[in-house]
Amino acid sequence: MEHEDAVREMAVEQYLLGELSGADRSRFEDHLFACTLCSDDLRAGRLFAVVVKDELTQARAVASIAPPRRRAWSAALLRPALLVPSLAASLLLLIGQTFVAIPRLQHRLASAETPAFVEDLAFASGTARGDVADLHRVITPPHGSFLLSVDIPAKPRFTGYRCSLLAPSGAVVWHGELSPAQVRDPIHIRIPASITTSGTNILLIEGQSAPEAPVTEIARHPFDLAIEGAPIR
Amino acid sequence: MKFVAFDAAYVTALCSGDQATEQHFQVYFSELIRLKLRSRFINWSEIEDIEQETFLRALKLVCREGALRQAERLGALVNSICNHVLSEHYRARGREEELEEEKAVVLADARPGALDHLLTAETKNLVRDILDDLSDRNRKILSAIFLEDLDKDAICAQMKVDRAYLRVLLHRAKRTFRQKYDRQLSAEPARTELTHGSRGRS
Repeated sequence: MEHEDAVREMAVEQYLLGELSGADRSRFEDHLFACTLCSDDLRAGRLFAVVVKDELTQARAVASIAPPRRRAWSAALLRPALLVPSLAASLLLLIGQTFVAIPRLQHRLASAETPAFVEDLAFASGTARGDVADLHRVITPPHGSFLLSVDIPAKPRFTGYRCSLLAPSGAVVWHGELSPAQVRDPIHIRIPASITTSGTNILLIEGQSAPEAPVTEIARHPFDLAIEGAPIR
Repeated sequence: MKFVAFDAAYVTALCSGDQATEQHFQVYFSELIRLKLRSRFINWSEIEDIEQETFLRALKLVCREGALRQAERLGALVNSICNHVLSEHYRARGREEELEEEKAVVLADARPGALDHLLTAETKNLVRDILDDLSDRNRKILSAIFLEDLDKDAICAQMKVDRAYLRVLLHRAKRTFRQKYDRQLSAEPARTELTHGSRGRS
Protein backbone atom coordinates (compact mmCIF):
# COMPACT_ATOMS: atom_id res chain seq x y z
CA MET A 1 0.00 0.00 0.00
CA GLU A 2 1.35 3.44 -0.88
CA HIS A 3 0.52 6.51 1.14
CA GLU A 4 -1.78 7.81 -1.61
CA ASP A 5 -3.75 4.56 -1.43
CA ALA A 6 -4.10 4.92 2.33
CA VAL A 7 -5.40 8.47 1.95
CA ARG A 8 -7.79 7.61 -0.87
CA GLU A 9 -9.19 4.58 0.96
CA MET A 10 -9.41 6.51 4.28
CA ALA A 11 -7.46 3.64 5.75
CA VAL A 12 -6.71 5.45 9.02
CA GLU A 13 -10.42 6.08 9.59
CA GLN A 14 -11.26 2.50 8.68
CA TYR A 15 -8.64 1.25 11.13
CA LEU A 16 -9.95 3.48 13.92
CA LEU A 17 -13.49 2.29 13.24
CA GLY A 18 -12.46 -1.36 13.30
CA GLU A 19 -13.49 -1.80 9.70
CA LEU A 20 -10.23 -3.26 8.47
CA SER A 21 -9.63 -6.93 9.00
CA GLY A 22 -7.83 -9.77 7.30
CA ALA A 23 -5.48 -9.03 4.44
CA ASP A 24 -6.60 -5.37 4.23
CA ARG A 25 -5.62 -4.78 7.83
CA SER A 26 -2.26 -6.49 7.37
CA ARG A 27 -1.64 -4.46 4.25
CA PHE A 28 -2.38 -1.23 6.07
CA GLU A 29 -0.28 -2.17 9.10
CA ASP A 30 2.69 -2.94 6.84
CA HIS A 31 2.34 0.59 5.53
CA LEU A 32 1.51 2.17 8.91
CA PHE A 33 4.73 1.07 10.58
CA ALA A 34 6.74 2.59 7.73
CA CYS A 35 4.78 5.81 7.17
CA THR A 36 5.17 8.61 9.71
CA LEU A 37 2.30 10.58 8.14
CA CYS A 38 -0.21 7.79 8.67
CA SER A 39 1.13 6.87 12.08
CA ASP A 40 0.87 10.50 13.25
CA ASP A 41 -2.67 10.64 11.87
CA LEU A 42 -3.61 7.41 13.62
CA ARG A 43 -2.20 8.60 16.94
CA ALA A 44 -4.18 11.84 16.66
CA GLY A 45 -7.31 9.95 15.69
CA ARG A 46 -6.99 7.57 18.58
CA LEU A 47 -6.43 10.40 21.07
CA PHE A 48 -9.49 12.13 19.66
CA ALA A 49 -11.57 8.95 19.98
CA VAL A 50 -10.47 8.40 23.57
CA VAL A 51 -11.27 11.97 24.60
CA VAL A 52 -14.61 11.88 22.75
CA LYS A 53 -15.54 8.75 24.66
CA ASP A 54 -14.51 10.39 27.91
CA GLU A 55 -16.47 13.57 27.19
CA LEU A 56 -19.61 11.74 26.07
CA THR A 57 -19.44 9.53 29.15
CA GLN A 58 -19.33 12.58 31.39
CA ALA A 59 -22.12 14.28 29.47
CA ARG A 60 -24.28 11.21 29.86
CA ALA A 61 -23.54 11.04 33.58
CA VAL A 62 -24.67 14.67 33.99
CA ALA A 63 -27.83 14.08 31.96
CA SER A 64 -28.84 11.09 34.03
CA ILE A 65 -29.31 13.15 37.21
CA ALA A 66 -32.83 12.48 38.53
CA PRO A 67 -35.47 15.11 37.77
CA PRO A 68 -36.40 17.44 40.65
CA ARG A 69 -38.99 16.11 43.07
CA ARG A 70 -42.55 17.35 42.64
CA ARG A 71 -43.17 20.42 44.71
CA ALA A 72 -45.78 20.47 47.47
CA TRP A 73 -48.05 22.96 45.70
CA SER A 74 -48.63 20.60 42.77
CA ALA A 75 -50.14 17.95 45.07
CA ALA A 76 -53.01 20.35 45.89
CA LEU A 77 -54.14 20.24 42.28
CA LEU A 78 -54.95 16.56 42.58
CA ARG A 79 -57.76 17.06 45.12
CA PRO A 80 -61.17 15.91 43.68
CA ALA A 81 -62.77 19.33 44.08
CA LEU A 82 -60.29 20.72 41.67
CA LEU A 83 -59.61 17.61 39.65
CA VAL A 84 -63.11 16.91 38.23
CA PRO A 85 -63.73 20.36 36.75
CA SER A 86 -60.17 20.31 35.44
CA LEU A 87 -60.74 17.02 33.71
CA ALA A 88 -64.00 18.23 32.16
CA ALA A 89 -62.31 21.32 30.83
CA SER A 90 -59.52 19.18 29.47
CA LEU A 91 -62.03 16.97 27.69
CA LEU A 92 -63.68 19.95 26.01
CA LEU A 93 -60.29 21.19 24.99
CA LEU A 94 -59.40 17.80 23.57
CA ILE A 95 -62.57 17.67 21.47
CA GLY A 96 -61.92 21.14 20.13
CA GLN A 97 -58.37 20.31 19.25
CA THR A 98 -59.24 17.01 17.57
CA PHE A 99 -61.92 18.35 15.27
CA VAL A 100 -60.86 21.93 14.71
CA ALA A 101 -57.42 22.95 15.83
CA ILE A 102 -55.42 19.93 14.80
CA PRO A 103 -56.57 19.84 11.18
CA ARG A 104 -55.70 23.51 10.91
CA LEU A 105 -52.38 22.85 12.56
CA GLN A 106 -51.61 20.07 10.15
CA HIS A 107 -52.22 22.39 7.28
CA ARG A 108 -49.87 24.93 8.82
CA LEU A 109 -47.20 22.30 9.25
CA ALA A 110 -47.62 21.33 5.65
CA SER A 111 -46.89 24.84 4.58
CA ALA A 112 -43.68 24.63 6.65
CA GLU A 113 -44.34 27.69 8.72
CA THR A 114 -43.81 25.87 12.02
CA PRO A 115 -41.04 23.59 13.24
CA ALA A 116 -41.70 19.90 12.67
CA PHE A 117 -39.92 16.59 12.82
CA VAL A 118 -38.75 15.60 9.35
CA GLU A 119 -37.20 12.49 7.90
CA ASP A 120 -33.49 12.98 7.34
CA LEU A 121 -31.41 11.14 4.79
CA ALA A 122 -27.64 11.59 4.64
CA PHE A 123 -25.26 10.85 1.81
CA ALA A 124 -21.48 10.75 2.07
CA SER A 125 -19.02 11.92 -0.54
CA GLY A 126 -17.76 8.40 -1.12
CA THR A 127 -20.91 7.22 -2.84
CA ALA A 128 -20.18 8.79 -6.20
CA ARG A 129 -22.56 6.69 -8.18
CA GLY A 130 -24.82 5.10 -5.54
CA ASP A 131 -25.89 1.49 -5.73
CA VAL A 132 -29.52 1.44 -6.91
CA ALA A 133 -30.03 -1.94 -5.32
CA ASP A 134 -29.31 -0.52 -1.91
CA LEU A 135 -31.59 2.56 -1.82
CA HIS A 136 -32.40 4.33 1.39
CA ARG A 137 -36.08 5.06 1.87
CA VAL A 138 -37.69 8.30 2.98
CA ILE A 139 -41.34 8.39 4.01
CA THR A 140 -43.18 11.69 4.26
CA PRO A 141 -46.82 12.82 4.58
CA PRO A 142 -48.38 14.44 1.49
CA HIS A 143 -47.79 18.02 2.64
CA GLY A 144 -44.67 17.30 4.61
CA SER A 145 -41.03 17.72 3.83
CA PHE A 146 -37.82 15.79 4.29
CA LEU A 147 -34.16 16.63 4.71
CA LEU A 148 -31.29 15.56 2.51
CA SER A 149 -27.79 15.93 3.97
CA VAL A 150 -24.76 15.48 1.78
CA ASP A 151 -21.01 15.88 2.00
CA ILE A 152 -19.71 17.33 -1.25
CA PRO A 153 -16.03 16.55 -1.94
CA ALA A 154 -14.50 19.93 -2.69
CA LYS A 155 -12.14 20.07 -5.68
CA PRO A 156 -9.77 23.01 -6.27
CA ARG A 157 -10.73 23.19 -9.97
CA PHE A 158 -14.38 23.95 -9.22
CA THR A 159 -15.41 27.54 -8.56
CA GLY A 160 -19.01 26.58 -7.87
CA TYR A 161 -21.31 23.62 -7.25
CA ARG A 162 -24.88 22.78 -8.13
CA CYS A 163 -27.32 20.46 -6.36
CA SER A 164 -30.34 19.29 -8.35
CA LEU A 165 -33.29 17.10 -7.46
CA LEU A 166 -34.44 14.79 -10.24
CA ALA A 167 -37.97 13.39 -9.95
CA PRO A 168 -38.69 9.78 -10.96
CA SER A 169 -39.59 11.07 -14.44
CA GLY A 170 -36.06 12.45 -14.81
CA ALA A 171 -37.23 16.06 -14.73
CA VAL A 172 -35.21 18.53 -12.68
CA VAL A 173 -37.70 19.76 -10.09
CA TRP A 174 -35.28 21.87 -8.09
CA HIS A 175 -31.70 23.08 -8.20
CA GLY A 176 -29.50 25.31 -6.04
CA GLU A 177 -26.01 26.81 -6.36
CA LEU A 178 -23.26 26.58 -3.74
CA SER A 179 -19.91 28.29 -3.32
CA PRO A 180 -16.67 26.42 -2.46
CA ALA A 181 -16.87 27.88 1.06
CA GLN A 182 -20.32 26.43 1.57
CA VAL A 183 -19.32 22.86 0.67
CA ARG A 184 -16.63 22.75 3.35
CA ASP A 185 -19.36 21.55 5.72
CA PRO A 186 -22.18 19.08 5.09
CA ILE A 187 -25.06 20.56 3.09
CA HIS A 188 -28.63 20.17 4.34
CA ILE A 189 -31.52 20.57 1.89
CA ARG A 190 -35.13 20.71 3.02
CA ILE A 191 -37.36 19.32 0.29
CA PRO A 192 -41.15 19.86 0.34
CA ALA A 193 -42.77 16.62 -0.82
CA SER A 194 -45.13 18.62 -3.03
CA ILE A 195 -42.44 19.43 -5.61
CA THR A 196 -41.79 15.81 -6.57
CA THR A 197 -43.47 12.39 -6.65
CA SER A 198 -43.06 9.01 -4.98
CA GLY A 199 -40.46 6.70 -6.48
CA THR A 200 -36.74 6.81 -7.15
CA ASN A 201 -35.58 10.41 -6.91
CA ILE A 202 -31.98 11.47 -7.42
CA LEU A 203 -29.91 14.16 -5.74
CA LEU A 204 -27.39 15.19 -8.38
CA ILE A 205 -24.19 17.02 -7.45
CA GLU A 206 -22.25 18.87 -10.14
CA GLY A 207 -19.21 21.10 -10.20
CA GLN A 208 -18.39 24.02 -12.44
CA SER A 209 -14.88 25.29 -13.14
CA ALA A 210 -16.02 28.71 -14.44
CA PRO A 211 -19.36 30.62 -14.55
CA GLU A 212 -20.09 29.79 -18.20
CA ALA A 213 -18.32 26.43 -18.33
CA PRO A 214 -20.28 23.18 -18.62
CA VAL A 215 -20.97 21.37 -15.37
CA THR A 216 -19.25 18.13 -14.40
CA GLU A 217 -21.13 15.44 -12.54
CA ILE A 218 -19.51 14.73 -9.17
CA ALA A 219 -22.01 12.41 -7.52
CA ARG A 220 -25.49 11.05 -7.95
CA HIS A 221 -27.44 9.88 -4.90
CA PRO A 222 -30.63 7.96 -5.65
CA PHE A 223 -33.16 7.40 -2.90
CA ASP A 224 -36.61 5.94 -2.65
CA LEU A 225 -39.28 8.50 -1.72
CA ALA A 226 -42.65 7.32 -0.43
CA ILE A 227 -45.27 10.05 -0.08
CA GLU A 228 -48.02 8.60 2.06
CA GLY A 229 -51.17 8.03 0.05
CA ALA A 230 -49.53 8.88 -3.29
CA PRO A 231 -48.97 6.28 -6.02
CA ILE A 232 -45.42 5.44 -7.04
CA ARG A 233 -44.66 6.49 -10.62
CA MET B 1 8.35 14.07 19.87
CA LYS B 2 9.67 14.81 16.41
CA PHE B 3 12.43 13.07 14.58
CA VAL B 4 14.12 13.42 11.26
CA ALA B 5 13.98 9.96 9.67
CA PHE B 6 14.63 6.28 10.19
CA ASP B 7 17.99 6.39 8.45
CA ALA B 8 21.41 4.83 8.84
CA ALA B 9 22.42 7.41 11.45
CA TYR B 10 19.32 6.60 13.49
CA VAL B 11 20.01 2.86 13.39
CA THR B 12 23.67 3.42 14.29
CA ALA B 13 22.68 5.56 17.28
CA LEU B 14 20.07 2.99 18.35
CA CYS B 15 22.57 0.15 18.24
CA SER B 16 25.26 2.12 20.00
CA GLY B 17 23.00 2.55 23.00
CA ASP B 18 22.14 6.21 22.58
CA GLN B 19 19.46 6.76 25.22
CA ALA B 20 17.51 9.43 23.40
CA THR B 21 17.29 7.27 20.28
CA GLU B 22 16.33 4.18 22.28
CA GLN B 23 13.64 6.14 24.08
CA HIS B 24 12.31 7.50 20.82
CA PHE B 25 12.31 4.03 19.24
CA GLN B 26 10.30 2.60 22.12
CA VAL B 27 7.84 5.47 22.38
CA TYR B 28 7.29 5.65 18.62
CA PHE B 29 6.62 1.96 18.04
CA SER B 30 5.02 1.17 21.38
CA GLU B 31 1.78 2.92 20.53
CA LEU B 32 1.62 1.38 17.06
CA ILE B 33 2.21 -2.10 18.47
CA ARG B 34 -0.43 -1.56 21.14
CA LEU B 35 -2.99 -0.29 18.63
CA LYS B 36 -2.23 -3.25 16.39
CA LEU B 37 -2.70 -5.73 19.23
CA ARG B 38 -5.67 -3.98 20.79
CA SER B 39 -7.47 -4.11 17.44
CA ARG B 40 -7.34 -7.90 17.83
CA PHE B 41 -9.11 -8.18 21.20
CA ILE B 42 -5.90 -8.93 23.05
CA ASN B 43 -5.99 -7.91 26.72
CA TRP B 44 -3.56 -5.40 28.16
CA SER B 45 -1.33 -7.78 30.10
CA GLU B 46 -0.76 -9.92 27.03
CA ILE B 47 -0.16 -6.80 24.96
CA GLU B 48 2.69 -5.82 27.28
CA ASP B 49 4.27 -9.25 26.98
CA ILE B 50 4.05 -9.27 23.19
CA GLU B 51 5.30 -5.70 23.00
CA GLN B 52 8.35 -6.40 25.17
CA GLU B 53 9.23 -9.53 23.21
CA THR B 54 8.87 -7.59 19.95
CA PHE B 55 11.27 -4.89 21.12
CA LEU B 56 13.81 -7.41 22.39
CA ARG B 57 13.87 -9.28 19.10
CA ALA B 58 13.77 -6.12 17.00
CA LEU B 59 16.80 -4.59 18.73
CA LYS B 60 18.70 -7.86 18.56
CA LEU B 61 18.01 -8.27 14.87
CA VAL B 62 18.51 -4.63 13.85
CA CYS B 63 21.85 -4.42 15.60
CA ARG B 64 23.17 -7.66 14.16
CA GLU B 65 25.68 -6.63 11.55
CA GLY B 66 24.26 -6.58 8.05
CA ALA B 67 20.78 -7.60 9.19
CA LEU B 68 19.05 -4.36 8.18
CA ARG B 69 20.22 -3.39 4.73
CA GLN B 70 17.84 -0.47 4.37
CA ALA B 71 17.37 1.65 7.47
CA GLU B 72 14.10 3.06 6.17
CA ARG B 73 12.66 -0.49 6.41
CA LEU B 74 13.02 -0.37 10.21
CA GLY B 75 9.29 0.17 10.71
CA ALA B 76 8.32 -2.69 8.43
CA LEU B 77 10.79 -4.94 10.26
CA VAL B 78 9.26 -4.11 13.65
CA ASN B 79 5.79 -4.89 12.26
CA SER B 80 7.00 -8.17 10.82
CA ILE B 81 8.60 -9.22 14.12
CA CYS B 82 5.40 -8.29 15.95
CA ASN B 83 3.45 -10.52 13.57
CA HIS B 84 5.74 -13.45 14.38
CA VAL B 85 5.47 -12.91 18.12
CA LEU B 86 1.71 -12.62 17.81
CA SER B 87 1.48 -15.90 15.86
CA GLU B 88 3.51 -17.63 18.55
CA HIS B 89 1.22 -16.12 21.17
CA TYR B 90 -1.83 -17.58 19.44
CA ARG B 91 -0.21 -21.02 19.14
CA ALA B 92 0.85 -20.98 22.78
CA ARG B 93 -2.72 -20.37 23.85
CA GLY B 94 -4.13 -22.97 21.54
CA ARG B 95 -5.97 -20.40 19.47
CA GLU B 96 -6.87 -21.40 15.94
CA GLU B 97 -7.09 -17.90 14.48
CA GLU B 98 -4.60 -16.83 11.92
CA LEU B 99 -3.33 -13.28 12.13
CA GLU B 100 -5.50 -12.23 9.27
CA GLU B 101 -8.72 -13.78 10.50
CA GLU B 102 -9.13 -11.81 13.69
CA LYS B 103 -12.02 -9.41 13.69
CA ALA B 104 -11.15 -5.77 14.37
CA VAL B 105 -12.43 -3.45 17.10
CA VAL B 106 -13.02 0.28 17.34
CA LEU B 107 -9.85 1.80 18.79
CA ALA B 108 -11.36 4.10 21.38
CA ASP B 109 -10.21 2.60 24.65
CA ALA B 110 -6.95 3.43 26.34
CA ARG B 111 -5.10 1.44 28.97
CA PRO B 112 -5.77 3.29 32.22
CA GLY B 113 -3.07 5.87 32.70
CA ALA B 114 -1.51 5.41 29.29
CA LEU B 115 -2.77 8.68 27.84
CA ASP B 116 -3.06 10.68 31.07
CA HIS B 117 -0.26 13.02 30.08
CA LEU B 118 -2.18 13.90 26.92
CA LEU B 119 -5.66 14.22 28.47
CA THR B 120 -5.13 17.76 29.66
CA ALA B 121 -7.96 20.14 30.42
CA GLU B 122 -7.08 22.04 27.25
CA THR B 123 -7.39 18.92 25.10
CA LYS B 124 -10.72 18.01 26.67
CA ASN B 125 -12.02 21.55 26.13
CA LEU B 126 -10.88 21.38 22.56
CA VAL B 127 -12.78 18.14 21.93
CA ARG B 128 -15.81 19.48 23.79
CA ASP B 129 -15.85 22.49 21.41
CA ILE B 130 -15.63 20.19 18.41
CA LEU B 131 -18.51 18.08 19.73
CA ASP B 132 -20.58 21.20 20.42
CA ASP B 133 -20.10 22.36 16.83
CA LEU B 134 -21.43 19.07 15.46
CA SER B 135 -25.06 18.55 14.60
CA ASP B 136 -27.13 16.45 16.99
CA ARG B 137 -27.16 13.66 14.47
CA ASN B 138 -23.37 13.61 14.10
CA ARG B 139 -22.90 13.74 17.85
CA LYS B 140 -25.25 10.77 18.20
CA ILE B 141 -23.31 8.90 15.56
CA LEU B 142 -20.00 9.48 17.34
CA SER B 143 -21.61 8.44 20.61
CA ALA B 144 -22.95 5.28 19.02
CA ILE B 145 -19.51 4.45 17.64
CA PHE B 146 -17.17 5.36 20.49
CA LEU B 147 -19.30 5.28 23.61
CA GLU B 148 -21.94 2.66 22.97
CA ASP B 149 -19.74 0.65 20.59
CA LEU B 150 -22.74 -0.33 18.48
CA ASP B 151 -22.52 -2.35 15.31
CA LYS B 152 -21.71 -0.03 12.43
CA ASP B 153 -24.36 -1.47 10.13
CA ALA B 154 -26.95 -0.95 12.84
CA ILE B 155 -25.82 2.66 13.28
CA CYS B 156 -26.07 3.24 9.53
CA ALA B 157 -29.54 1.72 9.35
CA GLN B 158 -30.80 3.69 12.33
CA MET B 159 -29.28 7.02 11.32
CA LYS B 160 -29.94 6.45 7.59
CA VAL B 161 -26.36 6.97 6.55
CA ASP B 162 -23.85 4.71 4.83
CA ARG B 163 -20.44 3.49 5.98
CA ALA B 164 -18.65 6.14 3.95
CA TYR B 165 -20.54 8.81 5.92
CA LEU B 166 -19.09 7.47 9.17
CA ARG B 167 -15.56 7.63 7.77
CA VAL B 168 -16.02 11.14 6.39
CA LEU B 169 -17.48 12.32 9.71
CA LEU B 170 -14.52 10.90 11.60
CA HIS B 171 -12.07 12.25 9.05
CA ARG B 172 -13.41 15.80 9.32
CA ALA B 173 -13.64 15.74 13.10
CA LYS B 174 -10.11 14.34 13.36
CA ARG B 175 -8.82 16.94 10.94
CA THR B 176 -10.35 19.75 13.00
CA PHE B 177 -8.94 18.19 16.15
CA ARG B 178 -5.43 17.93 14.66
CA GLN B 179 -5.48 21.55 13.48
CA LYS B 180 -6.56 22.85 16.88
CA TYR B 181 -4.35 20.43 18.82
CA ASP B 182 -1.25 21.37 16.81
CA ARG B 183 -1.99 25.06 17.42
CA GLN B 184 -2.35 24.29 21.12
CA LEU B 185 0.95 22.38 21.16
CA SER B 186 2.83 25.11 19.33
CA ALA B 187 1.67 27.56 21.97
CA GLU B 188 3.22 25.42 24.72
CA PRO B 189 6.93 25.51 25.77
CA ALA B 190 9.21 23.62 23.36
CA ARG B 191 9.68 19.92 24.09
CA THR B 192 12.79 17.81 23.72
CA GLU B 193 13.51 17.08 20.08
CA LEU B 194 15.58 14.28 18.71
CA THR B 195 17.66 15.48 15.78
CA HIS B 196 20.89 14.40 14.18
CA GLY B 197 22.74 17.11 16.06
CA SER B 198 21.60 16.01 19.50
CA ARG B 199 22.64 12.38 19.23
CA GLY B 200 25.76 11.25 21.01
CA ARG B 201 27.14 8.56 23.22
CA SER B 202 25.69 8.51 26.69
